[in-house]
Amino acid sequence: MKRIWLLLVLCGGLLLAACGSHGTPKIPTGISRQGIGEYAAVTFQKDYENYTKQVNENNVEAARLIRDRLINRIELDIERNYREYEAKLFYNRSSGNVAADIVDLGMSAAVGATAEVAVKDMLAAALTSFKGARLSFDRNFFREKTTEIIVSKMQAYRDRVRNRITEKMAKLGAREYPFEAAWRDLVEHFYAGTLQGGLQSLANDAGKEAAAAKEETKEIERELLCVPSEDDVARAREIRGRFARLVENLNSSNADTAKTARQQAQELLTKLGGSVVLVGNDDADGKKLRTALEPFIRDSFSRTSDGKCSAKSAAILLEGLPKLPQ
Amino acid sequence: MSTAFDLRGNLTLAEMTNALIVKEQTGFVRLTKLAAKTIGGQRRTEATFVDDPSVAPPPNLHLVAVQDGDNLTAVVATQLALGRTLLNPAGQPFSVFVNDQPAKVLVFRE
Repeated sequence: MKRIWLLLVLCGGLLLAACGSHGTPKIPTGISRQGIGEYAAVTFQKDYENYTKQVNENNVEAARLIRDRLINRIELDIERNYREYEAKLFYNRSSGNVAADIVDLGMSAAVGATAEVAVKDMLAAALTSFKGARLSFDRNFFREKTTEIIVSKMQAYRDRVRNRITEKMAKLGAREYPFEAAWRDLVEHFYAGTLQGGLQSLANDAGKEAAAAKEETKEIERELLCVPSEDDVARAREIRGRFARLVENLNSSNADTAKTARQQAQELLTKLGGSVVLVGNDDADGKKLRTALEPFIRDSFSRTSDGKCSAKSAAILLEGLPKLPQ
Repeated sequence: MSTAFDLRGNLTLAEMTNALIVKEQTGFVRLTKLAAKTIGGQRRTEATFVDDPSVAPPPNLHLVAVQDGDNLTAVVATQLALGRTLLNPAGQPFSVFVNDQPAKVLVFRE
């Protein structure tokens, strides 16, 4: 038993040592922390004071130059730190996965090789718990996405923010785009290059893709107009004309005409399965009738499976609505 | 409020005109725009309408197909002389599908 573990640990160690040479190439002095790359707090403080002074004295051109320098220096730090972080993200996750695979395989082998039932059960339980913990880690920290996908999203998000900053720097002076506004964009630029930024960007893109797919489905499912025959066109015109006539009669100053129109409207709606209460108030009755009858007129033609129009309730409408004068 | 409906791209100009007339008459809407589109591999013409507050029936629509190189001013003048009004904004023809082929139309109201 001890020999098996010793062998597994040795193999794992050798593998991890072999991976150690796959980090990053040597970093040039110009961009290393030890070189001139890092923007020290004291230098930043001095530059920022100088910038504020130029702004206060209304030297906008000088202020713009200092603003651009401040932005560029901070961006350099963000960029360098991001590259280191990105490399570590790849390396640490891969190393972690290799180590976990070794433990996983070793424990599986040990379960098979052990004769004693109690030890076998203990190892099997430990293996299950290890696999669960590994899955949980992957799910909660990386949302089960590969490092490449997360990094590409981080990069895309960073590029978007970076382009925005560059465009503002090129187009806007120190008054329109003060350093404090750039500072806010720089903070966003920094957080775009984090694991959370990448996952958030991934979720946003997935949301946008889902919305676009939904929109396309809506487009595909949009109601198609039916193709009417010449008779259908004539009937549609007749229905609309007679409806207008009914409303006109309803609003008539002649009490008998209005009364007949109210009766016609109520009878027609009863036949169609609707109802309306008309009390003889011109405007209100006209609106109520339109509200009650419009849905039936809208539905008077429906689309058949071959795309033609089928005059659903057109006959009832034509029968119930007043005839147009010849 | 505006609403959009689709017409199959394989309709003839007369079928398209009739479908739009029936929609206007029974739907209490008026046509404002036509636009060709391909969605899910299908050729369609999207018709956009606005609510028609009027009770009176809208005058009929009249669609005129135009070709590239046609004298649009002359086409429009002929239709206006017949008492029709042009719907196309700035007199620019709408892109549509007629018989499943891309086409351009001017829309007039009688």
